[in-house]
Amino acid sequence: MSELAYLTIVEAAALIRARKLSPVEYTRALLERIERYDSRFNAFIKVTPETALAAAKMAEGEIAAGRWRGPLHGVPFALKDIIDVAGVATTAHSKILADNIAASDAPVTARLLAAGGVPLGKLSTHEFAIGGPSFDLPWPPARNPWNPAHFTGGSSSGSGAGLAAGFFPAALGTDTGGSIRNPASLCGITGMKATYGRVSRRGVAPLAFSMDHIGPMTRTVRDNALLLQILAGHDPGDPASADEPVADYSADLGRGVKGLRIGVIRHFYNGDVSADPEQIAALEAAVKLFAELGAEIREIRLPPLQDFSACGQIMLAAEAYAVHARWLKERPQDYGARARERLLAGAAIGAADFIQATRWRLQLRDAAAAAFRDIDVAVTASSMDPACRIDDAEALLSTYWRQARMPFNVTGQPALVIPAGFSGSGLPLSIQLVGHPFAEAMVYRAGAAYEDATDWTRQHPPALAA
Amino acid sequence: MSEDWRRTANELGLERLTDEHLAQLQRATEGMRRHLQRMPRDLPLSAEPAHIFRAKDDSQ
Repeated sequence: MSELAYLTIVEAAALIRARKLSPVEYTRALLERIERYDSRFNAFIKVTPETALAAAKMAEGEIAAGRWRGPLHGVPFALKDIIDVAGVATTAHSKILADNIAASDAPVTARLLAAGGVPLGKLSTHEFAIGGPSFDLPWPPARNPWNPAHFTGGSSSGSGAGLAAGFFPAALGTDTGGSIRNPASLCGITGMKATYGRVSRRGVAPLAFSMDHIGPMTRTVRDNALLLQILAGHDPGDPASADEPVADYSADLGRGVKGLRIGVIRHFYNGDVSADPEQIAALEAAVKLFAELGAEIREIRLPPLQDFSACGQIMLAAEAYAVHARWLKERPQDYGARARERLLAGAAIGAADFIQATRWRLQLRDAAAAAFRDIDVAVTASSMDPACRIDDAEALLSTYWRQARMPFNVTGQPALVIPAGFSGSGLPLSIQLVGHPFAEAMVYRAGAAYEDATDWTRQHPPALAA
Repeated sequence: MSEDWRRTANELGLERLTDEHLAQLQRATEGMRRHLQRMPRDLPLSAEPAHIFRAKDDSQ
């Protein structure tokens, strides 16, 4: 079973296309693994085995008839439970939406289904993608497969946990202040927040309209590029959707980084905030490796991390309060404590302060663009620390500011988190690669070069690998 | 919980908050004030907000 559990999309697609792997058997194996292990990790809110097996049977029939749709055909995936699937509840992991049956598929769901993907079910999240981990909700919080006593990161917590546990090779997460990249960092998987507007947000419960991103979460960079290829594209129904050409995200994956100009944003993790020494060592080792692979390394400076954090938090809180004010007024007791407190932060933000924050945002965006002018891609931290214990309230609180993800929600730039080693206690470490707007292909190129030169993505939680 | 925070909550239309919720409102508001204090107040007059309104024409 573990051989199938940790197949990459690339590997599974090759086997399925060659008819050496049956999508039905693959799906059954993963469903059995979920049944066997998920009570430890709570990655799923709802597993949909009948739907999954029906899709797998259809895929198997089509492929047998010579109608292979592409690399996701017959490959299982799962969705963070703020993304609509027709006929299935989108709960946002909240009592408030427990019975919220979606009328139609979100465009991102429709794209994965059209590509022949096999939907396994809906995944845990922090409540409304903002408050967690929480023990006072109808479903328990996801736990980290590398050590279930530790935090997964959030808010796409089930997506990170399920990938690390070998429950599926592909998942979707969402990222408003880092919620794809946080679980990618802490669960040792790969997560991409593409450029704002690159992937449709329609049919996904909003957190903060101007900073919400939907994106691919996988175990490898190559898989991530394949998944973004399916998701990316203009959606006229999403007012923020970008009508920009979609690049071939896999075309440059083998080109390496020789001659690329890689900027290091060192002050984010060794200045503005002091990261954990093991995390700093992983980052510096990555910078050294990029240099050895032929990249030209340049240190660059952006505005202080705390400026991005403050601007992003003001905007996020104000926009989220606009979404939640009615429920906070009518049924505040139905939120978990963590989500309620975070959402109440927007209650007293005045209109002028919100507008001022949106003006500040453009200043920060312009400063970042200037800093990136003479580089191809940048490397910096994502999380400043390995995963803390899931019951350590103080450490959990610090994860909101001990991170360098919010800057790229504020600027809208693409940002990819990939595994970069392990702490002495066996918990994943990570790096974050950041590109110019709509230059996801360049970010993937650098990520693939790092991935090819290391073996972090081939390591799996020891208790599950056997 | 102080009457000040009860009054603040009521003014915001949050009349159903319990004492525990009011303590959360206080912590959250004080945390947000720290972010607001960091925000520059001297941006150039020409600095536009990040939201652009576009007129819509359905006639075609």
